[in-house]
Amino acid sequence: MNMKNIILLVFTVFSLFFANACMDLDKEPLDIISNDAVFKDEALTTAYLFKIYGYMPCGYGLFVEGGTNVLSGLGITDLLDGSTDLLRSPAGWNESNGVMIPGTISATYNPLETWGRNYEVIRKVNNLISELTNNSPLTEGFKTRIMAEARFVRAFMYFDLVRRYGDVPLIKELQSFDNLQELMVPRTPKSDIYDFIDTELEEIGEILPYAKDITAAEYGRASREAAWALNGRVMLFAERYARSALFSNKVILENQFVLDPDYNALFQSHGGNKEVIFEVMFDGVNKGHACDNLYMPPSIDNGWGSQTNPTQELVDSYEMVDGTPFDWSNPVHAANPYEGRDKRLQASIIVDGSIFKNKVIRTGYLMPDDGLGLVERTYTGYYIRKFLDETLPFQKLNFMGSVTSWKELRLAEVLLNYAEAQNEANNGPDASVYEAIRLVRERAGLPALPSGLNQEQMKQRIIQERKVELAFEGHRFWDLRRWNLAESVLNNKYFHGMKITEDKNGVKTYERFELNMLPKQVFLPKHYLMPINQGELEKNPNLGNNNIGY
Amino acid sequence: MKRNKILLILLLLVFAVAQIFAQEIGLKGNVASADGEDLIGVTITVKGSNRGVTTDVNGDYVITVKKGDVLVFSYIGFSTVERTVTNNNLDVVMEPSSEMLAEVVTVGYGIQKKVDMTGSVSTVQGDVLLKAPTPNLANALTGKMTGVITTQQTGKPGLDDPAFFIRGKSTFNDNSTLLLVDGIERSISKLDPNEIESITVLKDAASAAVYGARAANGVIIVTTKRGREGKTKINYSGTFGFQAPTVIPEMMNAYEYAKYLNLALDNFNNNTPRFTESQIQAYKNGIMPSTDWWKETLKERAGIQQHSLTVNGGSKTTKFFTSLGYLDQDGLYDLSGFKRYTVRSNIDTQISNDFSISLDLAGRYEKINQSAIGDGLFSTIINSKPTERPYVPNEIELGGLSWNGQPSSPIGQAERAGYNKTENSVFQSTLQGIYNVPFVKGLKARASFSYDRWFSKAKTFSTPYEFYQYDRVIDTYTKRKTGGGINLYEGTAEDERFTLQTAFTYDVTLNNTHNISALLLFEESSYKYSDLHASRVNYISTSIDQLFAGPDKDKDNGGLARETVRQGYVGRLNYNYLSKYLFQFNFRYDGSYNFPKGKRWGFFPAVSAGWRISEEPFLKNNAIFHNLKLRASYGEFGNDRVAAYQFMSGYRFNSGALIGGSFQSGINDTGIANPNITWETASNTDVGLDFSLFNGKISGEFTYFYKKTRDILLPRSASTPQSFGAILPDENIGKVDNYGIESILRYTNKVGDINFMVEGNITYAKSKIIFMDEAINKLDYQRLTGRPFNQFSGYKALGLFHSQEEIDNSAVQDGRGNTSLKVGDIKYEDFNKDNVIDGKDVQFIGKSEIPEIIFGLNIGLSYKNFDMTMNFQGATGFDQYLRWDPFNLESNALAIFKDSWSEDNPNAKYPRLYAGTVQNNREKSSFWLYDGTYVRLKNFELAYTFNKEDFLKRIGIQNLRVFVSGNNLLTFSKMKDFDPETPNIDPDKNAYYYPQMKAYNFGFNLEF
Repeated sequence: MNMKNIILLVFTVFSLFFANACMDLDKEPLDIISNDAVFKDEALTTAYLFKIYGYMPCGYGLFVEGGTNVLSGLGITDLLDGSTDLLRSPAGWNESNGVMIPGTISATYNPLETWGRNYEVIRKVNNLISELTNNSPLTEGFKTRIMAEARFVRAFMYFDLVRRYGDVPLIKELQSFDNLQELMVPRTPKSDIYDFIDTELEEIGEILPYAKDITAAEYGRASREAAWALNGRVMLFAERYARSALFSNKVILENQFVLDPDYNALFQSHGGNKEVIFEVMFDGVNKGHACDNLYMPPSIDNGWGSQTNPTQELVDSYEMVDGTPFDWSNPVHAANPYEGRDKRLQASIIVDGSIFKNKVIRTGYLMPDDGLGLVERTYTGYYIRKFLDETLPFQKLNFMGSVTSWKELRLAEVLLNYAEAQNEANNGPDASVYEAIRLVRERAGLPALPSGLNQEQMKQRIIQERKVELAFEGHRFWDLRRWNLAESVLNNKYFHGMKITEDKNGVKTYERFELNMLPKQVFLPKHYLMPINQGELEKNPNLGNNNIGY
Repeated sequence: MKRNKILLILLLLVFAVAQIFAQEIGLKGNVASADGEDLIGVTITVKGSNRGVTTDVNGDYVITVKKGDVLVFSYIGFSTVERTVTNNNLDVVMEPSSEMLAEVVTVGYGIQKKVDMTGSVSTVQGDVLLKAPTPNLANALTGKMTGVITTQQTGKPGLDDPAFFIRGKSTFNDNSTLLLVDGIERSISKLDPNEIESITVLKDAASAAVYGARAANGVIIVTTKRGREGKTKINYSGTFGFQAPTVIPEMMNAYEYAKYLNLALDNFNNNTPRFTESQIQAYKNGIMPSTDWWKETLKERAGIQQHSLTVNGGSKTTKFFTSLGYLDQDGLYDLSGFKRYTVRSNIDTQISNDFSISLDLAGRYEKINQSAIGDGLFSTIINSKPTERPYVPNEIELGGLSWNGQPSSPIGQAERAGYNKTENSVFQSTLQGIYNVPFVKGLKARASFSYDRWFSKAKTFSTPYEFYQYDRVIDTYTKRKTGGGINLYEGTAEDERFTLQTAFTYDVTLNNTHNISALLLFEESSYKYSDLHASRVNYISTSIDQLFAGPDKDKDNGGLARETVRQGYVGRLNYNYLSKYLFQFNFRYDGSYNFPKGKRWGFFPAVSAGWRISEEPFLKNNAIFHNLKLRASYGEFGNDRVAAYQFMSGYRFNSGALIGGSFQSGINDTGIANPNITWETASNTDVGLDFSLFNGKISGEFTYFYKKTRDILLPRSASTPQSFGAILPDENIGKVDNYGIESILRYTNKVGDINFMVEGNITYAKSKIIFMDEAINKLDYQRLTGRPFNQFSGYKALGLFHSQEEIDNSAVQDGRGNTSLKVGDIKYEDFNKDNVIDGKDVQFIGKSEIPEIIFGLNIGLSYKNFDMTMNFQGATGFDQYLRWDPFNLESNALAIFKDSWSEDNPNAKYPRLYAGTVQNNREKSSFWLYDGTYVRLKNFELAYTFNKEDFLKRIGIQNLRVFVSGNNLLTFSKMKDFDPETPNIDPDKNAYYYPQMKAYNFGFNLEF
């Protein structure tokens, strides 16, 4: 055999060998964990729960997770309260000015739509429950806690759906894909949805660990008190005041949470504050938000900042330290309007002369750096302070660098929820109502409410207290709706800003002006509910007609 | 070389001696082509005998003949010449064959004579691609071949791959074409055109079904050049030129901006004008300057040069082709650019009489640079306010950047914001052996192994830059820094592909009438991909741009991997009777890892037939019809390019939540599994007519195709309510028909010294959705079923409102009784006549963004030593959606918005201006839809060739050709500010981008 034939032979053998043995079509995917493995393993099951927790919303607007923008329904590029009387954005482009304020929300465009996202996580919860109930060898103790936490998220999602859309489909069990017709679930009356949430939260309120038993390594997970606090809020929306008071009071009596004496520091915290009952946390790397970048005074920011500014209506709502209302017609008040006020004014709002990040911020007319009347600076004469993290380094002022946690449930809200519910359930305030409000006001440096208020008077004081205590946290947006006050407070309104001019002697003149540079706010009766998406109505004929007016 | 020559002469001598006894004369001569090139290996036979010789490496021949003998000179690609011997010297000049009868075309797993083909195939020769070459090869194919539909959406150096479809879109999924280089799946866009012998596009099932489950969207086969026996030829070609944008959007100047912004603010309720009347006058009079941010940030033109050196030659047993290529394309700003280095060596060697091997090696290195900001830069430029200056006065800071009126500077983004670099290294190799089975004539065995590897490195170093914010009202500059830290991101990605082919081919001609050829082949390929990335943030200094130099805090890394495997068996049988009746049958039996066992293997057959009518006796010696062929084919091919492993359900690592202060990753269910998932199948019917008239002066092809794509993988998400909440699997439910015609007509002639060629081609392709998943209650007029792909839908705009009365009497289109509308806003049609304009009034308002018709006109002219090529290309039957929010965020606006509605301009083209978003005018509507039709002079080249010039010969140069050329030199389109191939622009989705470029080049070719 000569050389050439040897080459030929080697070549042929090589070919045949490869043809038969080289490649196998049975490739295992390199990134999929099999179904069976997950619910036999505590770590993987917990990881699935963490995915479910990842759906809890963030009221700072959109956040970035793994490089992707996430819209959780509580604002996109503005705070929810940007569409109320508390804030006005100079940005013509954000969803408040684009759609919410002019009232042009429609079945084809609702920037605050959460329908799909909420049902997505509801399915995951139903799936987790089905898997853990039917074929998981894990311990009962582990399984019940995991399921209770998932049910907490599901209850929250139904609450979020019902407050937006009213009647919605109630899907409590894992649906199979076999029959498309069975997926066409009709809308359940909203009282039934509230029944479901109430029962669920009551049940899991007996399963979840107490807050005191949640270790630092578990911050961010739901406690028993979180379930109660949430139910206290939900039952207010359902106007079931006795139930609401009952659950809020359970949180208060449990005595695990205390009001943070430093109201401003509370909002700069990121995990484990003693006032916070449930929070969504961020690390500014894997998951972060843009709150600081969007709202800081521009001279401290990198060129952004000042995207939403507090209104004069809100500023005027903060009482004097003696508990009397602020009054422009009072010359003492008017001469130094930011002195002697509720502590929460300076803690929540940067006014002319406030010190922020060691800098005196001047918001007066044409004041260098941050003054009114300069391009891209304040539009109302004020900046937001609440939520802003004074320790955040300059480099983190981007769209995902902020790390302050979103405080979804905190003790002050529970106290105010309790006071409101008890005042309604009891047909007037009792001592416990006064006490709850006293606690909230005491931190603000304000005296207790005068005694002898009737039910309506107390309700008005609670409305006022919620406006300032919970400002910018998104409550005003929903509260105006559930109180049926949105039309009278918002419709056909411009709100106001403050133009401060200074003469050469340093004497300041305060001039209230109308914020009429952007469209007037429109709030029509139909806006109490949001429209169901046109596409969803087309897919599911059993949903019937859209909400009235859309 | 020299030794070979001596050997050859010796051989010829022996041959000559052998003939001496015939008492005949020794005839000598030379055979050359019309352009003076010696032709090697021309067959010379004595008519009526079986005696013959071939020309040597110098084109010379010696033959012993008698006076009066007729010699027949024949050579592939040239017209046969007959000459009578008169004396003992006979030089012959051969003309290239005008008829393409001898033309051989690369087809799937082989080559075939074009006349014998029964499928729909387009070919372009490498030399055509060398006329005014573009940096991206894929962009060079448009208008040159029928069936190829491309849209070049950006001119970004190194990243300018076009959207590319063969005969339009036919699936909702991956419509990409299977790309092969020398038979192996490889990308084509970055190839050096000097390396390319030919490019073939397989369009119908008859030609593409051999690629089975990947062929449904057509196949492109690039064949690289190989060595030819003969004298070693060295070719150098170099081009030098520059590129500039085809269109630069015209923006408002400072005066116009100030004037119209005030108007827009006023319309948006804002009663405090941004500019005072005296400022506006100052801009008008030029007392205050206006900034052209485009000019300030970008270069007017960017240099481009290409060099290529090829060496080609070989002996009878070993032939080689080697090439070296270099491309250097600058970008519109200093940081941007593309560099490419290519090297190739194709070697064929005959080891024994029956056995030959070839080894192809190719390497490529690419370097793509841009600013760390990327294309965002271009949006910043057109948003920048012309009233702001680019730099601060020197007394503030020398060279200090001013702002653009928004918190940034485009100059800063282009030059000071850091860089993004990508480097790709490509290695490709194929070793092939061919064995002529000695005992069975015509039987060959062939095996080849290919190993390809690609390695990519990407690095982004972001550096904040400083600029000054200027406050006009208080005349103050405030120093600012852009956000974010000094951050470094580095990533690597690699892939490797191993392909094995073993094949048997058999070619035989029986009784000179039955031509049979057969192919049996097994192919398998495996592919692996993996990547890794790491980043560190908040570097304390920009001095070291390496990972180690960054802080530990918040460092991050990640990576992923995937593998695929495919196997396939291919068979093909060709039969023709006297090259008159042609038949072909082929199949592929294909297996893909993507699908579950039992659904994994598919059979893709195709049959085709042709009838060369011109070979029939009644047409055989006809003066008109030179070639006339009718062909038809039917076959099936598939598409397996969908997300893998949908037949199983499980969990993937995914985003999670922050628990206990650190981010805990979660796992996410992959969704519902579909155990029945399998490929999409397309069945294609193709009927064509090829003709050549008047001795090849007029030739052409006409083809009709109808492709039915079935089992298209689509999730049933359109009909499944969102309340179901799950990720849905793809199911084989979609049905799409796709049909059209392709035609090409060519006319070549010679008038005096002028040779010319005119070729026109046109492709029309239209899709129709036969079935797709749609919501139960979807309104009939909104159903996509029965319509072409991606047809634009939205409100139909009826123009602008001209009076308050008109607003009051119109259907409610803002959900609040039209109270938000003003005169000059866009009016929409109440399509369903319910007096409310809402989602139910959405209708189809235009075509899609993919052209229905694409055409080309290619002109070639030569006169003596001059030659000229022109390639016009155009497209029609498509729309462009370009919506703008002029003055949103107080950004600058396109100059066209000077024609916006106002009391002074009631017949305006554009709606009332607003310095903010007004939902009414932002609705998707026909108002912002433009007819995209265009025609452009895509390529132009004018050249002069110096050949046989003594001064060149003396310095060893055989041939010198100098040329000027250009790309996209002229564009005719209805679009004013944007290239007609622009991607759709919608401020909510995608903004402005790196524009398409035109090029002007000068260059020369040298042959040694």
